[in-house]
Amino acid sequence: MPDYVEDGGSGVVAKNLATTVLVAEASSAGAIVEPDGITADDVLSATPAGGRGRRRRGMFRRQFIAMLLLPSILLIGIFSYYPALRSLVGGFYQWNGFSTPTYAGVSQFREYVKSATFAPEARNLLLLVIGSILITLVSQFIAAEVVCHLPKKVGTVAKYLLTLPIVLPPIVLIDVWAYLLNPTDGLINKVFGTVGLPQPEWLTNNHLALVAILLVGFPWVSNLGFLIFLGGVQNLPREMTEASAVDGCGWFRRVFAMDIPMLMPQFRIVVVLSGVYAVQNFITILLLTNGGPGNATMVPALDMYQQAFQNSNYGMGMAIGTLLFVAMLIFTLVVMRALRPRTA
Amino acid sequence: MHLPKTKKLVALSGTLVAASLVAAACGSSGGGSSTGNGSGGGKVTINAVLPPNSGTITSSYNKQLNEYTQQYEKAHPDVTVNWQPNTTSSITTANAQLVSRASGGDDPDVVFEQYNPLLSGSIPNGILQNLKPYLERPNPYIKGNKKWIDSFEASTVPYMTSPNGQMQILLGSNVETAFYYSKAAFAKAHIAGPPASWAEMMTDLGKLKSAGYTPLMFADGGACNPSWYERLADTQFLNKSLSKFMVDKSVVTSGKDVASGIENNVISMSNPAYAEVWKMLDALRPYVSKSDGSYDACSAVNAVSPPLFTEAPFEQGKVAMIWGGSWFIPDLNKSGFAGKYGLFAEPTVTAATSKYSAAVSTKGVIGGPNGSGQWSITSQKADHSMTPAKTKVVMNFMEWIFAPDHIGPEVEGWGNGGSYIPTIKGAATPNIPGLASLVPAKQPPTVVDIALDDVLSTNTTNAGLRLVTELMSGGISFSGFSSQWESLLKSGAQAWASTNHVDLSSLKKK
Repeated sequence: MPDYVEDGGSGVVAKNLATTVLVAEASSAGAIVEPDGITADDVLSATPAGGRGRRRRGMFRRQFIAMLLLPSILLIGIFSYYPALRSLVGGFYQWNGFSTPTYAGVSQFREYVKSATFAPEARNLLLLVIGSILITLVSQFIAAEVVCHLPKKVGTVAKYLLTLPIVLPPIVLIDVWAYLLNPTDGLINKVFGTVGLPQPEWLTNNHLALVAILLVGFPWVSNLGFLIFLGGVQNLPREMTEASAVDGCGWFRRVFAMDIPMLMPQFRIVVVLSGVYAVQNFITILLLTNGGPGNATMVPALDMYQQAFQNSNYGMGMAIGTLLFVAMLIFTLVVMRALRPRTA
Repeated sequence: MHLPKTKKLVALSGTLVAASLVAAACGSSGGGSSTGNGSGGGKVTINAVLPPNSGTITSSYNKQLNEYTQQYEKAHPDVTVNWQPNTTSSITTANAQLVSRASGGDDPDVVFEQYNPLLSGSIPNGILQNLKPYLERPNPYIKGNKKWIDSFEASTVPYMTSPNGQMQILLGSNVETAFYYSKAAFAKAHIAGPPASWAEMMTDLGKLKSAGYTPLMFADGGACNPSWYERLADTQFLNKSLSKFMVDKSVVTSGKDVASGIENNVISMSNPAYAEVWKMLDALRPYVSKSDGSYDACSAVNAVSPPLFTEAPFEQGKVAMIWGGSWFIPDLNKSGFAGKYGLFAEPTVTAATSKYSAAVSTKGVIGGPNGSGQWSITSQKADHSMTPAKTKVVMNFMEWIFAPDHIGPEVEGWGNGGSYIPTIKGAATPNIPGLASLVPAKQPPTVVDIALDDVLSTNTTNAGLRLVTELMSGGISFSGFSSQWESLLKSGAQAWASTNHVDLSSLKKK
């Protein structure tokens, strides 16, 4: 029996100074909060009268809660955990989606790593991840800083203007950029041609295609990262900002000496999210270049999709997916560790 | 005894993961069941896929098909035909979807297909039905017909016959291909008329370049131009070597033939005759634009995202020549370009280009019975609703669609006014200017398809298309292409052998 102090009147039980358990009267239908080591039954059974009845009602309540949670857990299990684990197992089998799978061991993993496209894909992925993270951090942090320091009404309007495009379906954005980057009729090249600049073959030049993919979404502000930074900057202690101004600290120094260090948790989450997004998102590449020209914009996620749904090589697709998952896991752990808050 | 909360959470999570692992390991590839509605006596719904790039059943392309379908439904009140738009961009994608849906028993009853993947053996066994029993019996909608197969042109029948003797496809129309040239560009470059040989065409490309034009668009943003080129050049350069590798001896090379060719080093970059195929393509590089990767000759006319259709830059004068299908003729005419362009069938590759060429006419090699109106029927394994009774109903509907009175107008609609030629005897044949010059006068030579038409595997096709694009865009040198292409051939042969459970060494000729 854990140590506790019971106040029979109000039903408050304290195990010690650091732990407080609030217990509803047995006859009322209150929630029972259970800190570690103390259960409602422990507390209820301590009350002199009606202990067994209260225990039964408590158990029924827990079962009822479990029953309500069960569909969600089942759905998460079926639609999140099962596909992931199925993919892990499936990578060890050769399967065309129709005939009986054939056990292949690690041969498909080996085949992918040894394939001629692995190196270009890995290189493209690295460039896209680094590029996406840098673009996201710089553009969205600067936008958040600027918006937060605008006059109130202007800042509100700017906030809405920059946030609204987030609701646009990504396909619409990609279609617009497909038009903008069209080598013959695209707006960008038409403008370039008008002012006498060269008109690059954005999507069909080996060296430019990846740059064109990164260009999509310019100025790269309307995204979740902007909202995260916005929230962070808005919640910075105002007195510190005012104190730094009094001390003659300029905007530039304030941002680098104060804002960025205090917003490190936000930076961490944005780096992880943009990195994961860059790894997982192949839709832009699929619709604009389909991995081409040649393999100039080919990435593992697109290869995974094509292996499964275009080549009917589901086993290989799942093997690539598993390798991608491992890579993302390592990336996330490294980032979380490198950018963890450091306490004195 | 109660577990602490954290331990409960761990226990629950562990149970979940364990359950998922067990389910994953026991997961089968089989699909779910389907309540069939094909048994005799009840209502039957036929799910059929329309030809590619033809929109919905109510589009102008499908006007006649819609009309005949409604007539059939009126005469057969228990039958409803549900025509589904074809959303796939190529036969490779269509077959990937076919196989994917087959795993769930969820394929449509009638699917778009082409003869290449069937004759090559790249579609897994058991997905499509053998239609020979139906083709061997009379078509009730053709007066006096004793065997349905007799209503097809004799030249079409070999393309419908797989190496194992089965017939898994109905081929409704022929299509041809051609080089289209701008008359204004030719005049400016002082080119009198279409070239008589490939060597003359190369000379003309040089003249066009000197006159300030981008001579040719090799639209490698999609499969069409690259696979057409491969078929044309392979047929030409391997024509004299067929006996060294062909096993199945069909009108077009099968996967087994190609695997044999690779195993026997006939289809190898070490064979100078085969290497000429790609050297000839490399020679085109100075005359094409690097932005050709944004275009595909088989894209929809109104495509707004890559790959785009090739006619727009041609009509805008940005390129002097494009390589397209006979369906370009009505498109160009309708967009006001009539009279401003000429066309010619792919010129023969003579000894002036390469001593390894067989110098045979390749007219009809790329095209052939590859137009619109090509369908296969799925099996009950791929489509759980396709009971034998329902299959009979579906085939009866196909007999109606393929009756000469019907196929002619249907083909005219799909061809946007007549760019396809029906394969059924007695069907009305269009007479649009220029088309007749593309039709071969005699049976084309044996078509040699190797890597870019799903002959070995779709993986080989997709990887091969990328390599070709890299070569044409200058991303790799010819020697780099050569070694990667050789690896691709070897791995493609291995993939084919693995899928078809064949020992490659058994194909080695002594």
